[in-house]
Amino acid sequence: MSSPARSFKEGQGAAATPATVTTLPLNTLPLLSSPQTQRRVQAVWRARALRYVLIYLLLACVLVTLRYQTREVYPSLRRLNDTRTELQRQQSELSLTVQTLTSEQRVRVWALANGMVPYAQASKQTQTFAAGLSSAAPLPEKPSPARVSVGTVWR
Amino acid sequence: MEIKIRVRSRVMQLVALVAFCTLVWAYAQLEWGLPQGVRRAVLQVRGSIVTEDGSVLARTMGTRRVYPNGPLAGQLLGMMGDTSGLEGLESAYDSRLSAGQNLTVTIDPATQAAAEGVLKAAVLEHQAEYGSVVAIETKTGKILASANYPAFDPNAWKGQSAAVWRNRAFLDRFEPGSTIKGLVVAAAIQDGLTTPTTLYSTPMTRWVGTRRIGTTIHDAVAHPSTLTTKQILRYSSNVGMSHVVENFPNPKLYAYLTQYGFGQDVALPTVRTASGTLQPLRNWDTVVRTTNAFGQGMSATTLQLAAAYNTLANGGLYISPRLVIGEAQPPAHEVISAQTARTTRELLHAVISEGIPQAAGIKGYALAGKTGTAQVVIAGRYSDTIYDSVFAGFFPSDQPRVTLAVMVHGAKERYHGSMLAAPIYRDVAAAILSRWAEPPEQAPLAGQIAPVQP
Repeated sequence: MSSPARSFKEGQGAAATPATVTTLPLNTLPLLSSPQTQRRVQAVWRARALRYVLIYLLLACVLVTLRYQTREVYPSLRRLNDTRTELQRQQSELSLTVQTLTSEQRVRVWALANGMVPYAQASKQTQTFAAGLSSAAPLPEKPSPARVSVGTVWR
Repeated sequence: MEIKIRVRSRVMQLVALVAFCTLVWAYAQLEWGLPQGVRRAVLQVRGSIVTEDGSVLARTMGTRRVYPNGPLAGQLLGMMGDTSGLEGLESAYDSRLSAGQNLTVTIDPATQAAAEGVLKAAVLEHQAEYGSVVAIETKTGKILASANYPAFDPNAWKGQSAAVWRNRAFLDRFEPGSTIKGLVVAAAIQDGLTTPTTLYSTPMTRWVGTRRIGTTIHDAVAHPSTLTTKQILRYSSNVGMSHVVENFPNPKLYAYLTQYGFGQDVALPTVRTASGTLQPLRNWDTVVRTTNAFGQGMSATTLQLAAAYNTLANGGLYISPRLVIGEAQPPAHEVISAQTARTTRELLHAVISEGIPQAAGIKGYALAGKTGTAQVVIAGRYSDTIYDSVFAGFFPSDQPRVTLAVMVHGAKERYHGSMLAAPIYRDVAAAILSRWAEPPEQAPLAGQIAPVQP
């Protein structure tokens, strides 16, 4: 009983006067260097380590299980991705081909080769409308056909 | 001791978490190949060069750079080496394109195609060496076309010489010749030195300078012995221009020419252009002032000439050309007043309607412009056999929407501006007007058939 701390530790199971306990600071921790206490601490440590390892293994198993269950998802995604890439490539090539085939210079060359002239340089002629067209023409007795076909001949 | 246990527990939790995350990451690496695969894919995609209407001028297909329109605007686009751009926009905007960003240019494919087609036909017909055409949208300064001939196909650039892929419209300097007269007359009207009806004595030759130092200038087109300013442009009289600038102070005329953009860098960011030459003011005397008034002793590019004429079309405001959407554009500056610009447009309209209606006019449409025929300097002397045929103009002349400049070098046949460059201007203008479906302003008389321009 040379020190208050030791008297507290030894007095855990022995007689300890309330006066001795009340003299200890509230935040002072006990010394746990006895073999019994060490064993208890190690047991707690082992238990926790085991628990964490088990949790880790459990999560790993969950991950493996999920991976097994979704084993077809990623190959399928890769195939779809490849397909999409190929389709995008084809779409790009085709759009460029269309643009090339319908480009302004090709249309211009084709038009000039077929004897066309630009509108601004084409022959223009005006004609005065005959008198009597100011009033609206009478409606035909028979209804107009539902479809009208128009043919264009380039000269 | 209790604290040590808690610390150990926390450490173990952390270790377990890290180990689990490592496992998940390892799975992800095996399954998805991230993140290296994604990064590699992003790096491989080079940005496209497109126009405002969505036409693709350059695009990367796999590992190949494709130019779907072939030679259309080939010199402007430039070409790609194995890893980076070598010329043109591909080189100028290499870092931006390499980062996967698209580049939108102001080029109008239809105008570009028309300019290239017309230029090619004219160069071949007149057996010229090369030529260029620039079209600018009047109000915005957008470059609608920058055509060069011979044509250059960036898809197969390795088989072509460096001279072919040169963007001549931006880089080749030449003496603008008589096209400059329209700009100088506008400056003289602005300063009150002349009016459209001022009459001058105009013999076919005149000595200019002092008694000891001077030169004799000649006129090429026969004309009356007296000419008004309007007729001076109509007959392209050098003698008449010598009178117009006789009382023009050298610093003032020099300032006008620089404000038109001559001898100055074109404010096109990143893209390589030539600035042309204007003699320094200290060298100016009567001879320099007079020769500059008809476009000798100075040089400009087709782009500069188009930008200068665009000032007349744009109500006297010089607006810097634009090529790439989103790039900064310097503010416009006033060179001449709107009234002076309108007066000059009427004079230039008369040049075509009264002078060369067949060569540069389109029946029913009001076009304006000025021809130029410049001798080329070879070994320090003007050549008698090699000429630059030039034309600059805009349309419609009363409310211009497009400005055009044309230059053809080294024609063997009919090399005068009115015979070569003017018809190119006319046909490109016709293509643009046709695309607008613009009706003729002056309708033909009833029953009269307008002759088709060849």
